[in-house]
Amino acid sequence: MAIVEIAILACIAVFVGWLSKGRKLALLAVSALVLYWLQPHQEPVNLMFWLPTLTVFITALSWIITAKPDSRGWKENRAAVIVLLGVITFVDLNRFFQFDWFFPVETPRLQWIALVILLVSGMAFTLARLGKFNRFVLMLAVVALIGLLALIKTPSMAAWLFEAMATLRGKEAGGQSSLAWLGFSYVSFRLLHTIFDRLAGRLPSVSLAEYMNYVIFFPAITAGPIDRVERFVAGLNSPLPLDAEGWVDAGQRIFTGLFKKFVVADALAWIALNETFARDAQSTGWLWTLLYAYSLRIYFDFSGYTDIAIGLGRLLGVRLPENFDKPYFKSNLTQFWNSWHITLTQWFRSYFFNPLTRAMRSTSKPVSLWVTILVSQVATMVLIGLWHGVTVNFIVWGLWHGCGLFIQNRWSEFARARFSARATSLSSQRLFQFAGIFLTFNFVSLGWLFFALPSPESAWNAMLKLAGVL
Amino acid sequence: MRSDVHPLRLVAKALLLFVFVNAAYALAQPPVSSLSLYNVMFPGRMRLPFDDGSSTYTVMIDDVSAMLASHAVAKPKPEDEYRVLLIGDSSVWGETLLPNESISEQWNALNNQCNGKTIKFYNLGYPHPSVIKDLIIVEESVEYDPDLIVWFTTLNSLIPRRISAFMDANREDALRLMDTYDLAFPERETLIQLEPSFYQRTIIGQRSYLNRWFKLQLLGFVWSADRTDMDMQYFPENVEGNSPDVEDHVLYRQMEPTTDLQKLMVFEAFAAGQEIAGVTPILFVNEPMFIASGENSDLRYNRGYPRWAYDQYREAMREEAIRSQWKYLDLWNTIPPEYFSDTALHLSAEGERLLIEQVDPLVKSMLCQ
Repeated sequence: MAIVEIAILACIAVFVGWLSKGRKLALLAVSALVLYWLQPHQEPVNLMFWLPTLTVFITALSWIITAKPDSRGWKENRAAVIVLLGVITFVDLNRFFQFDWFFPVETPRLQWIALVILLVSGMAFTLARLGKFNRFVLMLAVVALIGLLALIKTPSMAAWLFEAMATLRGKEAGGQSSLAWLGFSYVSFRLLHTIFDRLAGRLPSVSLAEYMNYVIFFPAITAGPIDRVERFVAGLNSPLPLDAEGWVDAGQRIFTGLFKKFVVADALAWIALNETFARDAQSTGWLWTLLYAYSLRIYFDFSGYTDIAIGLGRLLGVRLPENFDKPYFKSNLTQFWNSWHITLTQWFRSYFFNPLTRAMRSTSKPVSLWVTILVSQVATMVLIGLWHGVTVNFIVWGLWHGCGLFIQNRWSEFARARFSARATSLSSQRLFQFAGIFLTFNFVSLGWLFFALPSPESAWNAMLKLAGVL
Repeated sequence: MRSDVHPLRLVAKALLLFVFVNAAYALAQPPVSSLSLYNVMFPGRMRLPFDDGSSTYTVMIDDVSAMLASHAVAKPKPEDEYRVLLIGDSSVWGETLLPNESISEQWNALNNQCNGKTIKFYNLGYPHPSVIKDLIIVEESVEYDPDLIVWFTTLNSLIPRRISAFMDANREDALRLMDTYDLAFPERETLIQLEPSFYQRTIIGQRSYLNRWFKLQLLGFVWSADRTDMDMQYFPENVEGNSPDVEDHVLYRQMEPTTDLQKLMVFEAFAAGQEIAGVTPILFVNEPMFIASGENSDLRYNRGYPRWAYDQYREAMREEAIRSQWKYLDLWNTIPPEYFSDTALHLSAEGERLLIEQVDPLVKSMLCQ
């Protein structure tokens, strides 16, 4: 998002937050419109209309299969349905308005949209009539969502998809290997969270408007955080007042975020390690500074966007969860992962790490503790890596952190018994603390090599250069 | 917790502070450009910052003070050094060459010594052909105590014709030099009218320049790590060499062969340079150029120069050198065609070495005797 877009969204957030009636529906309309507005343009196959529409449809269908029958009534939800269909139709009509600075103009003909809406509505109506969905349907939805996520996150599959779509439209794919689908990484994880909670019988009863607002909430659509539905809906239904304190809170977060993103992160981007810098490096010491610049850049960029999202949410009366808590000042890797992209880590802990650990420990022949820790931590981190993209680099990055967490866990156990008695004085505790922060930061920074550089080989070469052996 | 904070008052105060700081900056015009982390925190650059188009390694800054402050020449001169400044255009800067392939670094690699001192060459070339630009750099760089200035020139430099970004960024220096030394420049009146408004002198008005200045400082980290100022992935494989065939016309910048170019040549800039340099000697060098041998080579020497124009220039330059008693080397046809890279004036690394071989004896004699 650019500064102008953020300023426009802030003004809209103030207006929507100020509404005493119809706030939820207005927010829904804005969030849906923002999906289209911020969807990146891609050549040669332009999906600026279809991808946001698909987000709306998938979210609506997910609501149908996860909502309790009593909350699926037409009367309570028709306003939301009308708003969503209205937004889709409005955007589609832009083929006549031609507001190319705001919405896609290459939209399909109205009759095509009417047909698709009819089909999806028919499917939704039929599903809604079915009553309660069994485990099989919900699991099918999980598989479909993960499959879709894997499809767009795997370069070869995304390239194939692009090729197929280009051929369908009689165009050349032009070697595209990624599909820019606005916010789908976050959307899919919010949807999976609701389906898993539905399976566990924990999902609260939410209306279509509440559910849609939770999934496509515009401040958090591009960079999270991934809230929990019950927490979000509670905040949505009891909005915080935008009093003096609210203004200061929101303003502080937005301006802090803008500074982090557009001043600090964008400046660090000039000197952050990249393929060219790593290839041409001649000085080991200065190469470390470029790597540190990358580490800081990725933090300020991401946490800056999170601050902006939290600030915009506050203008709307919704308090979004924190996503960062001074991660580079943590003295071990576990603490780092408890303070970096917190909501994503919590998501994986809830829906993968904890169930896996429980499963491994609760069998008739429980797996030994250290194997359980190794397997669950490595598997979790590899999955977190794959969430960023299905590439070898992200797998290696996941392995790096998974193994790091395991070693740190075992070392902590080992050291606690032997060294805790020695670190009694304040100065020795501080020394241990500082050494921990230094080690953790450097370990995490080395891991970023797999993010910054295009292949594991180039990352390995950079590691050798950093070690002064190449 | 923050009930004592009034958002509107806060915004009003912030706006007032914003206006005040901007106005103060516009009035005071602090010398930001002469501040530099180079030569303090980072080693000085081997060449003036110039954006080759990739923007990976450097930034277009244009302000001569900021450019020189980032250069190794800004470092205090050691006792055991003869300092030689190389002035000129892109052929001196070394487009398509890495810093260590450029003329200054190849010369430094020879480790020339005399009288117990090392002869150290500083590349102050900048890719824009203009003697007025060169003169601005000479004026700014004489404070770095040179022992010799080698000023490479060519016809294009002697007939400056447009207001470049460099000229605009150093407008006051350019106008002052034009007035003091009566330098002819066709766009002088336009340059006068480019005086920045009050708004353009504020922080907001100068945000682009300040951003680039800041980027130049930060790029010191990259310079320190990589010691390069251009992304070589574009060179040299992708360099398209000079063709032996040239166009079948004789126009030089739309001028016919009947034009008296001597009237347009700003020789006064060289005289001004001599005066500014004071006791520091200047060696003028007519840059070597690619000479085509194929089709239409009877009309033109190369893509840039028709024969009539370049011959006029050489003759005028020779006469002026004799009249003004300059130390002058005319090397126009001394490098074989295969040692040029992408233009008629850009040399390959090997070509630079050949050029050094030809200038080196005179440089040594001027410095060491």
